[in-house]
Amino acid sequence: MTITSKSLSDGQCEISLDETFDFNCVEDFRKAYESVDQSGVKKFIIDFRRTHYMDSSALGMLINMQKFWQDRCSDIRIINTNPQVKKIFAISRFDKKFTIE
Amino acid sequence: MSDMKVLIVDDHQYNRNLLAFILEDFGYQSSFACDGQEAVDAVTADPSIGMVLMDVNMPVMDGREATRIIKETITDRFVPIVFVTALDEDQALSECLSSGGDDFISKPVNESVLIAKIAAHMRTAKLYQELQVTNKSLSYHQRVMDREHAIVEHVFQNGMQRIDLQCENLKYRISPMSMFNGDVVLAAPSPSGGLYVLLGDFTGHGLSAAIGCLPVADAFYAMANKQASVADMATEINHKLQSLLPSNMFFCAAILELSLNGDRLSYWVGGINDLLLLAPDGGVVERLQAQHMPLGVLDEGEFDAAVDVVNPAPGTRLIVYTDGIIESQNEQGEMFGEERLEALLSEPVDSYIDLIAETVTHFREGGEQTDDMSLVELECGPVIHSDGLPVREEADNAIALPWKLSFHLTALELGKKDLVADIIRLLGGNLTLRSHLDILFTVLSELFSNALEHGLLQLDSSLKESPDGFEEYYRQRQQRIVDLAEGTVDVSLALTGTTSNKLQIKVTDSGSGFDFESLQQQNAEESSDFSFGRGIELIHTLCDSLEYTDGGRTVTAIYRLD
Repeated sequence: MTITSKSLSDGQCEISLDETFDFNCVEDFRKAYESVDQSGVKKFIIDFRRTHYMDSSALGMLINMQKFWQDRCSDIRIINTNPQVKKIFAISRFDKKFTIE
Repeated sequence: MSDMKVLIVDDHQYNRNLLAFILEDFGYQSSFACDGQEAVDAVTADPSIGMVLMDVNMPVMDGREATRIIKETITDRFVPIVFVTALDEDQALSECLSSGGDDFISKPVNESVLIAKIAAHMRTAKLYQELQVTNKSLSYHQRVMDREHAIVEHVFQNGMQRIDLQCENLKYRISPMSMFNGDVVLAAPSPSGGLYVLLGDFTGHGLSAAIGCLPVADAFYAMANKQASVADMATEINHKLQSLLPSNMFFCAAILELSLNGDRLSYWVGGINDLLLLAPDGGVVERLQAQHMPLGVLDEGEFDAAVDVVNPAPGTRLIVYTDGIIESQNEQGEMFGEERLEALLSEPVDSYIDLIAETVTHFREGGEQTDDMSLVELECGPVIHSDGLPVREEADNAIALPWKLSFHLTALELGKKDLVADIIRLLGGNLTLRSHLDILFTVLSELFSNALEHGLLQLDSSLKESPDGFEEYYRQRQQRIVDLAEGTVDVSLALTGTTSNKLQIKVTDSGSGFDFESLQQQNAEESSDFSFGRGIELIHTLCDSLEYTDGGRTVTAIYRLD
C-alpha cells in the first residue's frame, strides 16, 4: 500500500494512489496531503490511474482533505478515474465538489 | 595421390598402354576408351573418372567432338580434358581448345611434363569440387533463411500492426528501410479515455533491431490496458529489454500519455531527439528534452522512471521523430538537420508529418536512406476516439452458469488486510463479473464493514465527525479486531435470476444486531459535508435492492449484472 505525493513545478502537488483506496489508507493519505509545504500549493492532483477498488471511507478521506485545505487551496482535481470508479463518484455526487476527470 | 581415375582415349593400343604405364608409376589409376563415343559413354557412366587424356584423330567420333559433348553434358562435376596430339599446327591446336579442351601435350609424350600437367589439372578439379560443396551448402542455407524470413515476417505483421485505433488526435508515419524495422510506433487508448503513444528506435535496423519490437509491443499494450502510468510503462519495458537484449543494443524511446481532455501530457523520454511542441498556427514553442538514457541499458536499481508533465494549450501540436529524419542525406552527403526541420514547422499546415515526409524524401533524392524514419504528430486537445473505446465483448458471450461462493470468516481472518479485495480478485476469473468488479468492491466492502464494525466491534460512527476522530475510528477498529476473541462474519455471493444476471450478496454477522431502521434514517438526514454516512445510500443506488433481516444481523443486496 503506497501513496506517494510529489510537488511539481508551479505550485502543483500530485498524489498517486495504489490499486486499493480504502480504510487501510487513512493514515497514509492524511500524511500525504498534510505533509505538503503549505505556502506554495495552488493545486492538488489526485491520480487514480492505478485505483480500482474504493470504499466509502475513501470518500470520507477526500472530504477530510478538502476540509483541511479549504481556506488555502480549493483546486483539487481527481484524474484518471476508470469508468466504474467515476460512476461511484457520480452517485456520491462528488463531481459537484471536486473536478473529476 | 588422388583417388580420381584418368581415362585414356586412343585408338591405338600401344599408345594407351604406354600412357597407362607412366601413370601407374606415379600412382594414378586409369581406364580406357578406343574412340570418342566410348569416351563419352565412360565419362557419363563412371563418376570416378576425374580427368581425360584425349587423342585427336580417331574412328567413330574424333576427340574434338567427344570433348564438346562431354563438356556440354557433364555439368555436375569438372572433368579436365588434355589433348595428346602429334599435331603442331597452331590452327589445329586452337580448335582442340575451343572445343572445350583444357590443355594439350604433344607426342611423343615427355613423361615429367605429362605428370606435372596431370597434377596441375587434378588440383584445379579438386578446387572446383570443394567450391561446389560450399555452393551447395550456401544455397541450402539461403533457402532455409528465405523460409525463416517469410515466417518471421508473418509473425511481425501480426505482432506489430496493432495500431488499430482511430484517434483523431494522432497521425503517424513509419518508413522501413529494410524488410524489418527497428522503429516502433505504438498507440492505445487508456481505459479512462486518454491516449498512450510510444515512438522508439532500436540501435541498428533490420531483423536484429526488429526482434526487440515484439516484447515492447506486448508490454505496451498490456500496460495500457491496465491504465498504467507512463513511469510504470517505462519501468516494465526497460525490465523486459534489459533481460533480453545484448549489452550493445538498446532502445531510444518516447512514451507519452495525453489525458482525456488533452490538457495534460505526461512523458518519459530516453535517448531520443527533442520532442517539439508547436503553436496551433506553427512554430516551435517548447522543446521537451530527453531526461533519460535509452531503455534496456540500466538495471532496475539504476533505472529512473521519473516522468515530466506539461499542460499544453488547446491546439498545441507535438512532433516526435526518429534519427532517420534529420540524418537523411542528399546526393552531396549533406544531412537534413534540425534547422531544416524546424523551418518546416514554422508554417501553419494541416499535417506536419506529410509535409516533413515529402520534404525529406525530396531532399534525399539521389542520396541513400541510411536509417529507419518515423514520425508522430499529436494534437493536444480533448481526445477523440472515433471508433469509440474498445468494449470488452467477451463478457457478453460468456455462458453464465448459476453458482454460489461463500466464506465463513472467524476472528482469525477478520483482521486480515485486503480481505474484501482478495474476495473480489477471486471473482476476477469470471467473465460475467469482470466489468463490475470495481463497483462490487465498493458494495461488498460497505456491507462487510457494517457487519464487522457495527455488528461485531460496536464502533461508534459519530467518532468520524472530525478528521482526528476519523483516524481514531480506524485505529479503534484495528485494536478491537486484535482483541476480538470470537465472532464470525459469513459472506456469500450467488448468481441467481432466470438469466443468471443477478448477483446476490449476503453478509451475516454473529453480533447482537443493530437498529437498522434508525441507521437508514440517520443516513438520509446526513449533510453532504460529513465525511461518513455515505455508504448505505451509495449501496442503495448501486444495487437493485437492499434488505436487512434477522434484527440487523443479515443484509442481502441484489446487484444486476446487465
